Amino acid sequence: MSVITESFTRAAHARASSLGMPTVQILALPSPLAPRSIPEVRQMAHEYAGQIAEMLTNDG
Amino acid sequence: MTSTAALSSRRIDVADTYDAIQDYYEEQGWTDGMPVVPATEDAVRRMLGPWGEDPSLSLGVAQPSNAEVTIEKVAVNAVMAGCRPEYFPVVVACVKAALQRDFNLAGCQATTGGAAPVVIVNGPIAERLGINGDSGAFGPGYRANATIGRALRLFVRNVAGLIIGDMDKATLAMPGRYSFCFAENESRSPWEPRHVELGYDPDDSMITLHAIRAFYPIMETTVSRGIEVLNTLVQATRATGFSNYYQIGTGAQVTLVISPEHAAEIAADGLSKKDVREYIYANARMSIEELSGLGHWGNRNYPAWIDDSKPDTMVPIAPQADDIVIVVAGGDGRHSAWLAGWGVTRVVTEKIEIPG
Repeated sequence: MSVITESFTRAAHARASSLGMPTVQILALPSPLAPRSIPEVRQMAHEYAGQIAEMLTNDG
Repeated sequence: MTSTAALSSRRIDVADTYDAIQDYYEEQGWTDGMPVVPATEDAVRRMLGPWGEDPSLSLGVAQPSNAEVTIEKVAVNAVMAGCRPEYFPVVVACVKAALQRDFNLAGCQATTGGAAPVVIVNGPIAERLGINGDSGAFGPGYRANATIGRALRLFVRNVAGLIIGDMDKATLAMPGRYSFCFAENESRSPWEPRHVELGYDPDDSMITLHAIRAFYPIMETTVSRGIEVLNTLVQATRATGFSNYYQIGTGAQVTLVISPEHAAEIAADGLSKKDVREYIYANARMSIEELSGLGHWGNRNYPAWIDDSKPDTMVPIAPQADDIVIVVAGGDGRHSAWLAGWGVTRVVTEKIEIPG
């Protein structure tokens, strides 16, 4: 699976297809990420950790 | 005589009118927005020349498309760009350079930073093909400059797969992405040309490829001593918008294009190209105090020897003096220019080979 920000959704799917993995699971986080503070990014990490673990462990 | 070896490109039948052909290209998204030259089989064969004996010859794999780059695909894009067949060896060298790992094609052409690949040509081929390095070197007016750079851009779009809005995420991009190709003005340089500096024979020809974020023209019309000219050029870089100062940890480089008049004055002060490079490295620096909290500070990337906890630490414009590329170009006038590199790419070179 791959974690991206939502601005790069089309890019992520294009890259996945070019690498022969068109069905790879992609988690899109809100964009932009750059201006967020470190505590805000940590909060996001906690918020999305469950989804990331699920995507890493399921068969889809 | 052109080869008859089989071409593998798809044949497409389109009504034989100018409008129908151009509309088809545009609908497919294969252009840079301007009309292209139709890539007919005859035209592609003429472009390939001696390479036509094996059109399937692979130059490598392009990213991010992960596509194999055959010489035939490069020729198709060179035809579309309007290249004369004699330009093709230069286009091939450009593509080979772009495929070098250090150039990081997928990164520098996908970035929101919108970097443009700049082609600098050295050696006798520049004069032979009419690649301009004199007055208006960065501007329009010369078919070789316009179409060699354009062929590289069409390759980036059509073979490497950097489609605007999909893989190409440039926030603004820059006009240099249509084409940015010029020659070093070797005849008006007081120093050895770049290819000789790198150890090539003077009779060899070579291209340098640098992915740049921006082009900063610097006018110095007041002082007359070379060291003063150099000081103006260096002072002009000291701004937080000049992102090299934040990215030397990922190898950000910079190219300085010195006009012949400025170069003559700098050389008259006894400075060699190496001296110029070392002067820039020693003096084009900004303090952590000036850089912190602004620009690209939040995503800065510094090598371990930069202590960014100390406000008086001075950050150089490039990781080391040899990361500063110096060329002489342009005509009369007192205007030089910085070409500021994108942060995660390296300047690459490729010898131009003329096939048997």
